[in-house]
Amino acid sequence: MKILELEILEVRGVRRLLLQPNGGSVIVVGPNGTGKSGIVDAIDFLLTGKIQRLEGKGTKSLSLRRHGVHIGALPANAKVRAKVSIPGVEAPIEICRSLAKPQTLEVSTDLADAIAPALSNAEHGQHSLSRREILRFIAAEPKDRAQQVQTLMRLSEVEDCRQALMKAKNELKDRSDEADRRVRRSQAGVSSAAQLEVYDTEELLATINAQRVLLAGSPLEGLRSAALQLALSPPTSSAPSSVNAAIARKDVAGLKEALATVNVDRRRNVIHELTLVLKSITQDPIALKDCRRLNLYELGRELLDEECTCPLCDTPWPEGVLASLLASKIERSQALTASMNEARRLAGMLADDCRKIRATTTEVARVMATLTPQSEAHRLLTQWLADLDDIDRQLASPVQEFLSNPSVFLGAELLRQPPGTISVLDGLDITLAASVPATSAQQTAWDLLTRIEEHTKLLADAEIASQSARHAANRAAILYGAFETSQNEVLQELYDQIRDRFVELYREVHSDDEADFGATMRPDGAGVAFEVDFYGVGQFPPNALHSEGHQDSMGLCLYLALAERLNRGVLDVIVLDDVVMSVDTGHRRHICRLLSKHLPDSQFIITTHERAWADQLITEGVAKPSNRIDLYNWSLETGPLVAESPGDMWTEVRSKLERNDISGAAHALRLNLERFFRRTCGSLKGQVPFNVSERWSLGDFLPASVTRLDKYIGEAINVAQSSGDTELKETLVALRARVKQARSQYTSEQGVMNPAVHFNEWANYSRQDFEPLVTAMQELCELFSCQACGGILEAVGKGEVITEVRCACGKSILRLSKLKSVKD
Amino acid sequence: MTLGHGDSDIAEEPAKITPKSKDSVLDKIIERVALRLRESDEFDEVHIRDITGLMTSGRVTSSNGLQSILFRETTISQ
Repeated sequence: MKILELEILEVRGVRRLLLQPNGGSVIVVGPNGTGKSGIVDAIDFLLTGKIQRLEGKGTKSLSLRRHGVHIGALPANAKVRAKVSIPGVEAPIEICRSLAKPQTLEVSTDLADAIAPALSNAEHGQHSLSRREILRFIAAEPKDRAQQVQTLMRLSEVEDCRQALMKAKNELKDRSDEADRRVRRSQAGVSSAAQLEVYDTEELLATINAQRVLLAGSPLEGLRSAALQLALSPPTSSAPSSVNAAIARKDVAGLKEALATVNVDRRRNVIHELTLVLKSITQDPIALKDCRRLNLYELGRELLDEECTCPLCDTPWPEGVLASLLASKIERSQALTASMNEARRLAGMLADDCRKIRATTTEVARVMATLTPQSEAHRLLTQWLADLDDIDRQLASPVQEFLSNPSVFLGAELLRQPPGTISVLDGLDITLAASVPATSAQQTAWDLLTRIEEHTKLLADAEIASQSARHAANRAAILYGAFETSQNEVLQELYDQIRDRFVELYREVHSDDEADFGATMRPDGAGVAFEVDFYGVGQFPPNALHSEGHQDSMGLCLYLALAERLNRGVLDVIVLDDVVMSVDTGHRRHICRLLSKHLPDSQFIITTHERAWADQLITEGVAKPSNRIDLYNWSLETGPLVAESPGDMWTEVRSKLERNDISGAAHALRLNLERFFRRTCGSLKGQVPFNVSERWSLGDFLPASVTRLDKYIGEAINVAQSSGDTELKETLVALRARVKQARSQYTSEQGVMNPAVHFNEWANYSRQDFEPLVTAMQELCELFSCQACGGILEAVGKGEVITEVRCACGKSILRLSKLKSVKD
Repeated sequence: MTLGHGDSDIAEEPAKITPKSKDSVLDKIIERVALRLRESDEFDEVHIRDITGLMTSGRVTSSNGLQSILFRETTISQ
């Protein structure tokens, strides 16, 4: 999409402004406060319905309705209208957006779909770059830069997807871990129900079969949760009771045994040992971080090549240094990994005890709930059960728990029963012995089988749920891994393409001082690592060593590389809002060449307060003179005041001449010639006499430029002659004759151009005298310009060796070495 | 004609017109994810179709839908 015509009405300080760039680039030049930014904001508003300057940090009190409309104007009268061209659509499309309805873009035709992709790109800020934004690309942390790049490249949907997959992976891992703990708790429940020390399927089967024999049944060959009482009949010799005293008293005895001093002391020792291990692990956070990267270090060591280049970022290392660093990290990580395994082993022992105590306490609390439901003793045990659940969870990840709350382990009171528990258990035992009727051995066997069956069913359910959760967690991990690997591949390919283009563009701007410039760009976790070459001594962050001007160039080139990739053929409008403030004049010329040569299909809207830069953009062919907007003032009543278009310098001079304004014409001629030959002196490397005051004038620049051009043509004639190209030689000889003729003309005017003359003597000429001078000067200037692109000639080469003189488009070339030809 | 969601509130987000680009970065990633999942025994075609469908439509951000697919497949395989 390109803008053919743009009309701004009552928006951001602009009362009414009509631009007709007809798809070409536009230069808006003017001092501060003349309304340049208003034009940028209006384009922003037209394309997005927003104004970036009114959004972001520090703009809380700003709003589109209050600060987008020109002061005193009504929102309904504030609008931006444009005629745009869309590739593949023959007729121009008219679009309009009003501050009264910022969400609505009025489109003149039914081709809204054709314009939608351009608007979508603009919505992501792909149409505009300001100096403030340049630094976000260059001086940003990888994560912040990633944010910028992601926004521009519309990668936020990728990051959203990655985060959702990671969240699912983590949640399913947690669910799987919790399901595993439930299995272990259920196993503890089964062993406690069977009154076994530990969960052991053989012992469990033996216990079950012992009960079955007591009930005159046949022993089972294997464990099946639903069949423990298969082919058995409930005993009839005694009435069933809600509490089986024999079983309950054994539970109480088992719990007392678990809480006996000897076991408490054993656990205390384990806790002490665990605490020491945890302290040693957590005292070195860097080692802890290294430990998580052990696999990466080991893989890195395997992949190290003979050139000692980092396999991750391709950074070269001195021989043996990276290998040694990896070896020390691996050694430290392995030692720490052993400690972590030990911590897990010790925590696992405590967790087994915890579950066992919890399971037995559950059985005892159940009896207590039947016999003394509202008692303080029952409340005590119930509360302890909740605490044991927490401890079981904490022991599952001891290192993390220790890091977040060391006191959990440091007190060595973990798993210590609440005060009074033993007395409660003694009291319960007495009650069971005295108040609960005894049951037959058969009834006890039946009750025990009933209880075991209940728990084995729970265990079977837990195992199914655990298996299912493990499968899901495994799938989520595979899915996340596949996404991450694919994302890194695709992004790396994308970043490689952008980097290559960025380097190409930057080399164009800095061909004189950084012709071998290089850069790296790669995904860095959720960020984008970006480093650039600094004069061949290594890769550094872009804002580390380069000057501010170089950083501006980098930001511009990176933005253009990104924008080009996304916008080509979709949104060709690129707004560059005062982006070369820190770039020197010489490199600005290179930027002009970059824009016209590398991005010829883009429509740039360039704002600047520097007239010299605006002149450069015109003479280098980035924009036509008719697309230059000179703003010279601004007022609340009028908005920006646009100077009469100067057109090219000859139009300006001749129009004054037509009006018989010889003084004005003379002034314009002198001023424009001085600017022009100052530039040709620079582009052709003309030599002006050194002046300690550093004030040179037309009298210095013009002869130096002509002399240098004459020298280059002479060299090109020699090359043509030695190549046997007679036709070319004749063309060049004729060209040289024109230079000679022009030289004689300006020589006669030398006195007039002398800076010692304090007034412009041309102003005293008659029109008849002045007109031939203008014609001669115009012919002279044309010798320095390409008739095809309008750009001035430039000496190109390496260092001091000039190999050719050429224009920006390449149609005008003077070859200064063999096998070359001249065009035009 | 007009593009947009409505004109009632100036503070609302502007119209979002995001036609799916065939060569979007996410689409390229999803294509490769599908290839990788096919290499794993843990996923079948229905599974891959449902997961990539969720990702393409942007609905994967609600991880509940994704989790139910991952669990559902586990149940079927059993």
